[in-house]
Amino acid sequence: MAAPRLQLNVPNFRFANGRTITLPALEVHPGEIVVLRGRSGSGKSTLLHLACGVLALPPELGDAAIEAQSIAGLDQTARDRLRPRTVAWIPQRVHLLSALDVMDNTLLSFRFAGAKKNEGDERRAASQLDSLGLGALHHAMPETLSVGQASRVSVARALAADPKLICADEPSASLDRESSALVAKAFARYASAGGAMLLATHDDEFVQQLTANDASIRTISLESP
Amino acid sequence: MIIRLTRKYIESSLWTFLLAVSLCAMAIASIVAIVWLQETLEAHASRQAKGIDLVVGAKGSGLQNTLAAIYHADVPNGNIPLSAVNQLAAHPMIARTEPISLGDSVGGARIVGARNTYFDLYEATPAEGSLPQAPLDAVLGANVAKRLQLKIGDRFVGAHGLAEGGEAHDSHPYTVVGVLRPTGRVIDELVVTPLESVWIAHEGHTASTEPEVTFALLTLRSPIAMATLPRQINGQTNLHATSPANESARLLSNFGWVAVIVKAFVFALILGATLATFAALSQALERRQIDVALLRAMGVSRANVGKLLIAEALAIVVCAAAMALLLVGLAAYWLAHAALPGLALNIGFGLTVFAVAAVSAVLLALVASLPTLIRAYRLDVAAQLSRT
Repeated sequence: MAAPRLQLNVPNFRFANGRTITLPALEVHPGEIVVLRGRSGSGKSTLLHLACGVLALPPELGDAAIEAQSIAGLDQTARDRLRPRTVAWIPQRVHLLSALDVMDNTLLSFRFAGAKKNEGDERRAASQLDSLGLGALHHAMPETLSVGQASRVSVARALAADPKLICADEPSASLDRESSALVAKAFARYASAGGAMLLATHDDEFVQQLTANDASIRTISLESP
Repeated sequence: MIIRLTRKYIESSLWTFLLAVSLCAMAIASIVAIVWLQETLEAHASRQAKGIDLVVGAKGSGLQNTLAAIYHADVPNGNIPLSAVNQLAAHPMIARTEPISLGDSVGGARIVGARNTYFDLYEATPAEGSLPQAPLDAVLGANVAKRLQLKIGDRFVGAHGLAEGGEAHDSHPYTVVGVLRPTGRVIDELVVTPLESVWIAHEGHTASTEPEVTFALLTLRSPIAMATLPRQINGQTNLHATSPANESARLLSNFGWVAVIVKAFVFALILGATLATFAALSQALERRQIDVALLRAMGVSRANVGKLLIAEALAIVVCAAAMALLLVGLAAYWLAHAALPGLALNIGFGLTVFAVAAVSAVLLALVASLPTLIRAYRLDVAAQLSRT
């Protein structure tokens, strides 16, 4: 088996307000989608935030490594640099910049100064939008999109970066069955191409759609708080 | 991308933006206008007295003599004998003596009796015609000629007194023989005629049997003369010597409280502009917390997010500076061409003050955006994007 894309071992994570939660140790390998299941407050989002570097991980609380490179103890700037090429985050809250059209929102991090622009980005972004049923909406403005369409743009935004790891937080929450199937298919395609994904979801049907697309799925259940 | 986003953000809160721009523009324009105007008026005032170290006139108020002789803005204390002036001219400390006679006016413009060397004092040369050659020849200052619509060869009569409505000297009409080029000095507002014209016009009107003049404008040979001569003249003769520079300074110092009020007003404007900029930025961040969180989630660095927020502050200042430049430019044009024609504006000084004010405004905008930047820096990205 290939070396894990993500290794995370934070037995007890303590928040700034002093609250502590118990988290399972986990590994995500290339080609694998690890599904996090558990009730609200069980730590699914916290695991995602730690994995994609949005949440700081003090070394004394545990370790997280992407392709064997530890990200524990990294400062904010170093963790920002991980996104979106190394690890992309699909947040729970769907949001697009209202000033930019769909294509520019998809290419947000590349268009901004953060990541270097390359020719493949635009082609890959267009391809992802097309595969998610947004082919006719490349230049649509966010206010003209439905919630489901905006949600698919945020999925395309993560996939377009071609990251080593995607952390997705309830990506099917605002999707209808048909759109959900498109997203599941796109995730399965990403994984089969060697991508690794950490997915928090309550949506059984979405998981079934992933399975139906031959995605390699492993489920981890988190303890109730 | 930063410019594009900034433009869109401004469009989405146009009124707040315009309010901040207007307040900021008023602050910049007020500062530039006040500093520039003060410099211009001081330069204008000192230019009127250029080459004149002492004003010698009848005993009385020194300030009144200065206002009457230099600025032609007051009535003289009285007349002095020409013989006394001639005695002064022989004094070794005095380089130049320019006797002038006042008493009449035409259409609100003062008629000044003087020798032709008086024109040299103001570096005035004829634009048309010539300098006076005979009594009752008159040369018009540039503004007077324009205002009274008089031209070479025209005749006019002077009215007694320095204000309009005095008794006319119908029997002694003046003939316009020349019109002066604009000088930016008080001579632009005067009608100059030989000393003898004033004596002829006032024959039988004065009690004195010997020729009189109103003032002698003196140029001294050295600063030592400046220290000793006024005391000497004031103590030993019936004349009153006054330094125009000292009297002008004394007059301006009496209006110090006006400067304090104006400065307080400008300070209030600056404070208002800073608060408006701060409020605009703060509101902007409030509305854009989720945008900022998204950008950060996408790996956009804190520095670039900061640039985005600063870009909006700079947009306010740049627009305000452009508006202020336009306002001050229009005001300066109106001042120099309509309100105070002949006022020499130092454009270089005005632009320097504007540049300093604009740079200060940029620095203030950066200071005003600091709290917003700190809030953006501390934004909890995970919390913002986990809310449903």
